[in-house]
This record gives sequence, structure tokens and C-alpha cells, in this order.
Amino acid sequence: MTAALSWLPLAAEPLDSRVRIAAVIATALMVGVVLELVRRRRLAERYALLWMFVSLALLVLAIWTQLLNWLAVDLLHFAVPANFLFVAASAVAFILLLHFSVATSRLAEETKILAQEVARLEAELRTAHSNGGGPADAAEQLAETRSGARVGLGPEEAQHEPPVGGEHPSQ
Amino acid sequence: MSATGDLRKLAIVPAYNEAGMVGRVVRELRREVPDFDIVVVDDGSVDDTAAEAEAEGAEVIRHPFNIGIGGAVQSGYKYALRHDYDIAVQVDGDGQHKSSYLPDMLAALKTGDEADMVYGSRFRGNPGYKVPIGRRVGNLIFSIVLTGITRRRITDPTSGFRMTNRRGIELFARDYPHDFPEVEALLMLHAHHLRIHEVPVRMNARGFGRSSIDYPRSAYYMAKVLLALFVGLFRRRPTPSDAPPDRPEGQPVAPGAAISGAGEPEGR
Repeated sequence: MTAALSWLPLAAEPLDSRVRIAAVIATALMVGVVLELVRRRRLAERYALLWMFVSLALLVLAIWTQLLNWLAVDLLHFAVPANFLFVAASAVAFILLLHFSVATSRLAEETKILAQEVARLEAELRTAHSNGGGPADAAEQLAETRSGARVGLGPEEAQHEPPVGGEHPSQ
Repeated sequence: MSATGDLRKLAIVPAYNEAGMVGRVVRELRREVPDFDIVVVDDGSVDDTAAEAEAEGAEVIRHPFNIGIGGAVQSGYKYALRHDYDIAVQVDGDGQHKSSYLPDMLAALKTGDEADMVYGSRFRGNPGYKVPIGRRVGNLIFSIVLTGITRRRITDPTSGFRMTNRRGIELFARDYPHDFPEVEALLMLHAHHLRIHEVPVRMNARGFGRSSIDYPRSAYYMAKVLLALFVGLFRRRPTPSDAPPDRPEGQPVAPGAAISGAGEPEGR
């Protein structure tokens, strides 16, 4: 590694040690906040892992300067290693945003299905009540309509498929 | 055994696209343990899972889309709570768990040093099939961590073959982990002072020989569960009896149970 570094262009100065200290502090803060959010159940483990992975990558690049230099200057011919950090950071942010857009779309689709299901059940229950049956009678009718609807559910059946993409994130 | 006769007992069968298998599971349950009621939780299957289970005489809770094994199992526990069951047992819809062990587990739950949850362990003797090496290693790591935390010997923390009493039903109906829930659920039981007991079982290899866990996924599995265990150690845990829910939005009554229980009179 040092042999590879000896012919680095002069412009490729390693990061200032203050920058490195700042990066370590930022990473520690981020990991702390993420862990606390998980503990309070405000953040699911899958996203916690994502954020911890991102902050870990930041930490590694900040501390292990040779790796940053090698990646930025030798491999990708950036003039200044810090520029590589900026580009990488915006790329990661972009990918995360895209990921969340996908997740949001899926949630919206699932919410729509839930609203439709609740509305259908409520309507069926109301019909059953107005037909004069007692609670048990109504329940029986509801069960009937449900099994009836299940058979003839052609187009709606498609909703049971994963709404966005094929991959199932929940399992 | 006569004391167990008047207990209300429920078998919870989570199933996701298990047509061709779930019917056999239900049939076997009815043959081996006729005193258990059966609820199949169809977690948004796109095949005939629900119809098949219904045809074999099981009650079916049907999720409108797939929400994952944790949510499916919890729907079962909510159903059990709603319908006042005393005992609930999880039996996978893929045919991995053998119903013939249920009487053993029930006996252990009744008598085995005051356990609140009894689960079937593959690693107290012959597992009954060749467990892949990756699963064994993962299992061993979780086993060491959990045994350290709980100070009890836990040899098979990823086993989903579990039977619990009313306290366990109340706990899991209120709060259950989302994905890869088995290991974390054991920590929850321990944190709430519910006692865990294991009995040796053999299992079948999974129905169609496919494992639902491949390599990138098992890396995520390990990381997620270890993180959950670590963070879980720092959570405040009310015991089930004096319970304000952990989450403000946590509901005591299951919407899923309300929907699927509609076919039955209230006081059952």
C-alpha cells in the first residue's frame, strides 16, 4: 500500500486529522441516535442497519486515509480525495431516496387495499344488519358473502400480489 | 391429563403460498390432536392456501397482502386472545412441524417446571433431517447469546414450534417482532419473566426442499436479530399483568380477529 502511495500526485493530500476527528464524532452521534430510535420503536431494524452501514462506511473512509486515496485517486482519478467523498455521499443519498420512494409507493398501495377491505366489510355488515338478522345472523351472512366474494373475486385477486415490484420486503 | 381436558386450545398455522401442504398440516392436526381448534393465518397467499385450509375444516384468517411471518403469527395470537384460548401452539404451514409432538409439549407446559412457553428443539438429540451447516452455525451463535442472557439452556432459538399459555398469548398479541421473530420473541419472554422450557423434537425437512433463507438474506438475518437482541436488552418491559402497552398505538383488540371471528357468536 505504501509503495502504491509513493507515486501519488501531490494534489492528493490526505484528509486533515481534524476532519477525521469530526467524522468519528459524527458517526458516533449517528449510530447513537439510530440505536435510541430503535429502542423507542420509532425505527425498524432493517432501516437501522441501513443507516448504521452508511455511517460505518463513512467512518472507515475517514479513518483509513490510504483506502480513500486509493479509491479516489488511483482507481477513479479524482484530483482531490474529498471530491470523491462528496460524489459518493450524494450517490448514497440518491439511492436511499429512491429506495424510500419505492417503500412509500408500496405503503400507499397497501393502505389503499386496507381502506377498500374495511369499506367492503362495513358495507356487508350494514346490509346484513338492515336485513333484520340478530348479531349471530348478521355474522353468518357476512361469512357467506365473504366466501361468495372470494370465489368470484377475479380482478381483485390481483391485489393480493405484491403491489410494487416482485421482491417482498416484509419477509 | 384429565386437567387439560377443559382448557381451550388453539393451533396457529401461519401459511404463505402453502397450497398442497397446508391441507395436510390441518388434516394431521385434526387426527393427532382433535381437542385443538385450528386457525390458519393465510398471509396474503396468491395460491389456494386459504381455500385448502377451509376445506379441511380450519378457521382461516386472511391477510389482504403479505405482511411477513411475524405479523402472521401475531394475528394468530390476537385471535387466541380474542376468543379466550388458554393454550396456543404455532405449527408451520409448510409441514415442518409434526403434530404428534403436541401432547408431549402440552404435558411439559402443564407439569414441566412451571413453564409458560414450551418449544420443540431439534438439537436435543436427532433433528430428524439434515440441517444445513449455515443454519446450524447461525443457530449456535443465537443459542450462545440467548443462553448467556437468559441463563437457561436454549439449544434451538430459531425453532418456530412453540406452545404457550395465557400469559404468552397476552404478551404476543400485544407485541411481536416483525421479521425473523423467533429469537427476539424468546428474549421478550425472558424480559417479561415468562419461563421457557424446551423439549426434544424431530422435524421434517421443509415441504418443497426450498429454504426461505438464502445467503444475503441470512447475513441480514444475523445482523437484524443481533441488533434486535442488543437493543432489546435496553428496553423497559412491563410484565403482561400490569400492562400499559409498550407502544402508544398498540391495540389490545385485534382487527384481524374481529374480522375472522365474525362467524362465531360472542360468548364462545
